[in-house]
Amino acid sequence: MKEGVKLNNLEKLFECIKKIAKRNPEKILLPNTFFIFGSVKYDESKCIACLTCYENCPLGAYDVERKFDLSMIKKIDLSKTYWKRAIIYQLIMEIAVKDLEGYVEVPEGLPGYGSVKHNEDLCISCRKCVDLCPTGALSFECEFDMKKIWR
Amino acid sequence: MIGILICKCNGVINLNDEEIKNIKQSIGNDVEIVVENAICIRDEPWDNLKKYDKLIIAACSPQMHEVTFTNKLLDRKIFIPFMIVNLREHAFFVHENREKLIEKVKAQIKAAVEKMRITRMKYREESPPKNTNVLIIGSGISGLKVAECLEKFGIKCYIVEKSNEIGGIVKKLPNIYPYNIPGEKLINDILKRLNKTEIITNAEVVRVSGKFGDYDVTILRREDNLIEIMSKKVSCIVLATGIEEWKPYDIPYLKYNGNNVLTQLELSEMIRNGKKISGKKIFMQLCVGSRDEKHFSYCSRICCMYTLENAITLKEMGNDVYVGFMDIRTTWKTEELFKKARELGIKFIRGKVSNVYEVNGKLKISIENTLENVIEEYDVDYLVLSSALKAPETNMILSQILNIETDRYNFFKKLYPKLRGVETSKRGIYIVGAASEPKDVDECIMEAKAVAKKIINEISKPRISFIGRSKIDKSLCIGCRICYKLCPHSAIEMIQTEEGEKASVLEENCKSCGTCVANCPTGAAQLDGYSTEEMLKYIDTIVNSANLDVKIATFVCYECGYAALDMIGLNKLKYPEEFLIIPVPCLGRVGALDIFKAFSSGADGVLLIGCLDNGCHYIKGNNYATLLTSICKRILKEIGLEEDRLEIIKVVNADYKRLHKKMIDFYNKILNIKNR
Ligand code: SF4
Ligand code: SF4
Ligand code: SF4
Ligand code: SF4
Repeated sequence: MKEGVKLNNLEKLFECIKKIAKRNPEKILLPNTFFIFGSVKYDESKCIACLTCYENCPLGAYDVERKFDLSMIKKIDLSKTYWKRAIIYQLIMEIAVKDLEGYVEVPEGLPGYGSVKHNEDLCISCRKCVDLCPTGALSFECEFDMKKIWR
Repeated sequence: MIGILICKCNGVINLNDEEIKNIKQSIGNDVEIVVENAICIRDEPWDNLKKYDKLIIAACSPQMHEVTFTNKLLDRKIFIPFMIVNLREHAFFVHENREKLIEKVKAQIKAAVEKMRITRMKYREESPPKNTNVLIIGSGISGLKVAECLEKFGIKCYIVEKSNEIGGIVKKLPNIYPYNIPGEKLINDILKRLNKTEIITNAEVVRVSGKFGDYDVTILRREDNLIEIMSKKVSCIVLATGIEEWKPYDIPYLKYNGNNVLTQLELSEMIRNGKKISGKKIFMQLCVGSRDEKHFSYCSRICCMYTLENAITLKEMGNDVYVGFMDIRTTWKTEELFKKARELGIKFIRGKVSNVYEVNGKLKISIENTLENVIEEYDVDYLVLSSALKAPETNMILSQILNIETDRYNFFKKLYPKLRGVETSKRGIYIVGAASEPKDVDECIMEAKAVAKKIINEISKPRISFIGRSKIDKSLCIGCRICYKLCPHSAIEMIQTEEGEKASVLEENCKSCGTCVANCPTGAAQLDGYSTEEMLKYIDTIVNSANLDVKIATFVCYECGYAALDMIGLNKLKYPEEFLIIPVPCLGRVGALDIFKAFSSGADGVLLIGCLDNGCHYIKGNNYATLLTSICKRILKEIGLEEDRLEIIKVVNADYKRLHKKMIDFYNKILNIKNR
């Protein structure tokens, strides 16, 4: 977690829940979401690695993966992605002489290639990343990770 | 020292010496209890309170006497923070078991004392803005009238009008009932009385930033091919955007063309311009587009009136006039118009024109007469459509620029329809006249006066409060934006600092609802009097110090929830003593932390009482509470507690009997759970 972050209220809330709980479920399916109650889902196939989420997450819950998963190219629906990206992927597929698999290292300082890794453990589900993500690679789901409470 | 002033309320709050001793013992020796009678009308009890640094007034409902008590203190220059504990409506009026009643009273007072011990509440005066200029958007009757009223108080107004003509719809009307003068004269009379007001035509507001007292407005003006950009600094903004007549192209079979099939206001315009029409056959159709699910499901409210005016005028000019109607809605004295129209021999046919043809250049219409169940056909010279009145398209843009909500028809939303009809969610931004719904001239003038009064109040007097406004501890804030997204009054902005993005409160716009405090994960957002610390202390004390078998932590919003609870008291309905009252400004202040804290302190049940859906006085607070309740119920269930232990009740004060019944039901549920 980022330095200097103190989640005073959240910690107090977790203490109270801990105190009254008779069961310790790991995950709870919620009827709806409301900020800290919910969880972020990451869809790598939509991600363009702009790193907006990484740069803006107040908790530092994102890691940059400086690797580009080649098999992603096959999984992406090219009609739904950005046209320039679609052309590049199309070209790669056309000129490829072997099956697309494995990873390509992405050098530092080159946003636009690679992916991010979302650490559920650190996330407080504030939704900031979901709101800022330009591609819709991040979404908010009706699930509450209770593991952080029992920790 | 903390003083506790208990009012006997002429024997209603009849604590005996023994009981008072008991209460004092449970609180501690560092407080002083003074028992007086009728503190609302007497002066003596207030004369020696100077020695305390904090005060608890245990008496009747603050809904009744908060203002009285505040004035009593301020008149004596006693600026100490105080809290009212409602022993009358919430205890003595509603409980029968003496022993339990005293337990509850003790808990309520003790919780208040513990909260007061740590509170940072203090007397504050927010000085009124220095800039008193006002910007009015729209130069119709409402906008002009606001300017006229404000000018009397020396306030400078700017009116921004998007068209090149001043006067809006009213100017087009040849006659305004019941004044019996042309709309144009009404408008010109007001214009003559305006001296300082600056009217900018062909102009639009394109950007607004800032806060109450200090809005920065950018205006774009088009003149021929030139564009001029102006900037004005104002304290308040009034939305007087009015209504427009819908052009019914979307009902193709009516063949609207603006010539022989025209709208009612187009006809008004012709009459106003002195066009002579006589010897013609004219059919007028009411409710075109209005009360029609496909277009505008509402009644446009004023078309019946101006249609009848025009019908009478044309009849008197010697034409044959027919009116097709669904209902005639002439309210109040305008019924006279309807009477006159019938006396003159204007024919009324119930039904709607269903087809229009042109035969040899002549109009022919068919209409189903729904009273006689026959299809009738008429050859006419003109078909006049009383088309729906709708909100201008530009409302959408303005709502985005100002961050103010509109309803599904694009009219601006009132803050609270019953009591705050000219305010919006943002302080210093007001709505007047038809900007919120179609209104007649009288209503517009009345509202304009209301807006002017509201503005004068706001900009001439300091805002007094003890709890102040939300504050953000920058060292704790992580810039997660939760408060920014939740604040119902757009009173939070995110700013860039050296330590990254942080939240910051626009104090002038904050209404102290506490929503940000309840939902901030770090505890950076705080509101004195309702800070995390104070609330947790209050909850813990009230639940722990009541020696009762069952304990229900009852969060009540100070608006409808509190008022409904008061009504139960005033009507002397009884309910169990076990409901321990935790007042909050708005249910938005109740966070998951507060709910679970109550349970962990030993509450058997937690109840939230607030305003009806869409009736929240802070717009969205009860929505948030409803969402949170459903989530917390699920969590309770999953961690092995009964979800029925938590409930939210939404009421309006007149419906206090339903609240009473629901409270009893809830109590029984909790008893059942406990005895299982
Ligand atoms: S998840 Fe969204 S914000 Fe984050 S790197 Fe991918 S595209 Fe950018
Ligand atoms: S929801 Fe908030 S805490 Fe979680 S990853 Fe996104 S920005 Fe970070
Ligand atoms: S909710 Fe709290 S931590 Fe998040 S931005 Fe607002 S004040 Fe800062
Ligand atoms: S107290 Fe209410 S109005 Fe004030 S900043 Fe917080 S959420 Fe907004």
